[in-house]
Amino acid sequence: MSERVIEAGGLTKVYPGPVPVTAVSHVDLVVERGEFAAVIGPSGSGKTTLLNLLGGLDSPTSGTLRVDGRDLVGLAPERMIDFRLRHIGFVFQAYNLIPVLSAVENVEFVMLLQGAPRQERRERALELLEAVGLADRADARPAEMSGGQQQRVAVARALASRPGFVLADEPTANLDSRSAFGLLDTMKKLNEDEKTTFLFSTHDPRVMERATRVVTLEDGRIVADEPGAP
Amino acid sequence: MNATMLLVLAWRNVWRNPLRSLVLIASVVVGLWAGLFVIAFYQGMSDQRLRGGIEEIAHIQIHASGFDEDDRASLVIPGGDSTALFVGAMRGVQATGRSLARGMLATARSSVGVEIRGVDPASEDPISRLENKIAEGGFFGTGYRHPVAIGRILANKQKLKPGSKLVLTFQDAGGNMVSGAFRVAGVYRTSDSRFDESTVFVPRAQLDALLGLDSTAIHEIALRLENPADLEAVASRLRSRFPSLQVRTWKQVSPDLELIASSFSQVLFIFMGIILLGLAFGIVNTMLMAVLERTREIGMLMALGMRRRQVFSMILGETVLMVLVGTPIGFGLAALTIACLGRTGIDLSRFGAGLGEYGMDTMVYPALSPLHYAQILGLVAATAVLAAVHPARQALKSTPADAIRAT
Repeated sequence: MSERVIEAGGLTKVYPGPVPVTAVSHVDLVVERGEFAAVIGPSGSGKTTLLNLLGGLDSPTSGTLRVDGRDLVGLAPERMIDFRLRHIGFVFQAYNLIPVLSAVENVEFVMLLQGAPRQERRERALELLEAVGLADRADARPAEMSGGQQQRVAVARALASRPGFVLADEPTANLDSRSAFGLLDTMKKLNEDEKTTFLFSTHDPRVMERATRVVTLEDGRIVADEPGAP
Repeated sequence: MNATMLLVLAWRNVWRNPLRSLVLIASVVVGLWAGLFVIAFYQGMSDQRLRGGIEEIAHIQIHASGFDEDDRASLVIPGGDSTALFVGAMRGVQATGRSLARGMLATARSSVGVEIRGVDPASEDPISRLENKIAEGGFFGTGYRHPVAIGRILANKQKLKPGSKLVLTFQDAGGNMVSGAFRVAGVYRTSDSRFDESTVFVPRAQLDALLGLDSTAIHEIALRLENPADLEAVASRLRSRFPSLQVRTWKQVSPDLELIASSFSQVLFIFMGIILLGLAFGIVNTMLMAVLERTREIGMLMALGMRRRQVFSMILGETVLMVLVGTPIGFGLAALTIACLGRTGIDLSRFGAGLGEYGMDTMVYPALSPLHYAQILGLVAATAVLAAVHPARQALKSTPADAIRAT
C-alpha cells in the first residue's frame, strides 16, 4: 500500500502589498513515498513558492498541508524548525554549502543539529559522500570543488538526516550537462536504493526526462499532473 | 548543536574574510592600547599632583579653632609641642609642629608676599620631604645664623641664590610689625610653581622669637599617615581627643586635590567610554556588513534546522572572538608601554611652566592599577556583547525562504 508523504489541499499563498500577489492558488497535491517528481512551469508560475510551502519554509495563506502525517499549517516556528530538521532534506539551486566547513563537515552539519553522536555522524557522512562519488573530496572546502561536486555534497547533506523526502529547487540550473547528468543519476540511484522521495522544481528537460511524475504549474495553479519516465 | 561547535563555526567565519577581521582586530588593539596609555598617563599625572599636594599640605592639619578664617599669630595650639608629640606618638602617624606667618619678603630688588613656615627640619622632613627637593644649597644646616629656604621660582624672580640676603616682615602676636634678616641657605623645587613662588621655610625657633611667642608655641600640627586609607579614622579620633581644635584632612584643606582624586574614576570611564563607543560603531559596522553579505547563508542554516538562538549565538560568538583576539594584544602592548614609560618617565619640560601652575611635575610616570585594568576589561567585554546584539538581531531577520530563492 502506498504511503502519502505530502498531502496539500487548496494550498494558497498570497503575498500582501498594495497589489496583493497570489503566488500559489488552490493547489491540491499528493506525493507518495518513493516518487521522483518534478514541478515545472515558466518563471513566476509559483514553483519556488510551492516548494517553500511544502518544505515548511513559508506558511500558506489558506489551505491544508500534511507532511509525513503531520499537519504543518499553524505549526509554531520552533516546532517547524524541528520538523524540517527531522523530516525534510533540502537541495538549493546555488548549492548553499557552508563555505567554512569541509565537504564531510557540511554533510555532518544536519546530524550535528540533530544531536547525533560524533562517530555516527562521521560514518554516515562518509557513507553518503561515497554514495555521491565524492569520498576522495571529503576534506575539501566548497571553494575547492566544482559546481557539480558541490551540488552532490548538497544532495548528501540533504539525505544525512534520513528525511521523509527531499525538496530540490532547480538543482541542475547552475550545472553543465555532464555534472547535471551525474547529479541526476546519483539522485535517481538514491531514490531507488533508499526509497527516498524527491520533489524538484525545474526548467531542465534533463530532470523532466528522469522524473516519474511531472506536475505543471501556471499562474500558481496546477494545470497538468502526468506520469513521467517509467 | 553544542557550544563548542558553534564556537568552531564562529571562529572559522571570523577568518573567511581575513583582511576585514584583521582591520577590526587592529582597531581593537590600537583603541585599547591608546585608551589604556592615556588613562595611565592621566593617572600618573594625578598621582604626582596628589603626592606633591599631600607633601605640601600633609594628610591632616590641626589648628587652633578659627585659624583657617583668621590666621593671627596669637592663635596658637594650646599645649604647643607637647600636643604635637602626643599626636606623633599615635600608631602609624608622623607629626610635626609648625609656626606660620604671612608677610613680605624684601630684597634689594623688590618685595613680594609670602607664607613663612617655621619648621623643625628633623620632624618636618618626613612630612614634606623637603630635603629631597633642595635644588641648590642645603636646608638649614649650612652654617648661616638665620637661614631660609626658598622656592626656585621665587629665587629666579628675586635673583636670589644661596648666600643672598633677604628681609621678612610680618605681624607678631601682639599685632606689631616685625622684621628679620635671613640668608638663603637653600633653594627647593617642587612640582607646584605657586607653592615655590609663595612659601619660605625658616627655623621654627627663630620665627617664634620674632613672633613674640614661646619657643614651644605652634600654629599647625601636620600629620603624615603610614596608611592613607586610615585618613578619616585618624581624623575622627583626633577630633574626639581635641574637640577644641580644628582637625582637617587634606581633602578639606584642598578641595581641588580631592576633586582630582575623586574624579579619576569618572574621567577613566568617560574617556574609555568614548573610545569604546567608537570601537562599538566599528564592530557594528563590520559585523553588519558580514551578516548582510550572508543573508542567504543564514537563511539556509535556518532552513536546515539551525535555531534562532543558535544563529544569534554564532554571530555573537564571531564578534566576541574578534574582540577576544584583539584585547590581550591591546592590553599587553599597553602594559608594556606603561611599564617602560613608568620607569623612565615622560619628560614634559617643554610645557613645564604651564604644568607647574597646576602643581604638576614635568616628568610624568604613567601608572595603572590592576583594578583599573580589570574595570576596563569588563567595559571591553560589555562593549563586545552589546555591539554584537544589533548584527545578531539583523541576522535573525533572514528567513529560510531567502535560502531557497535563486541567485
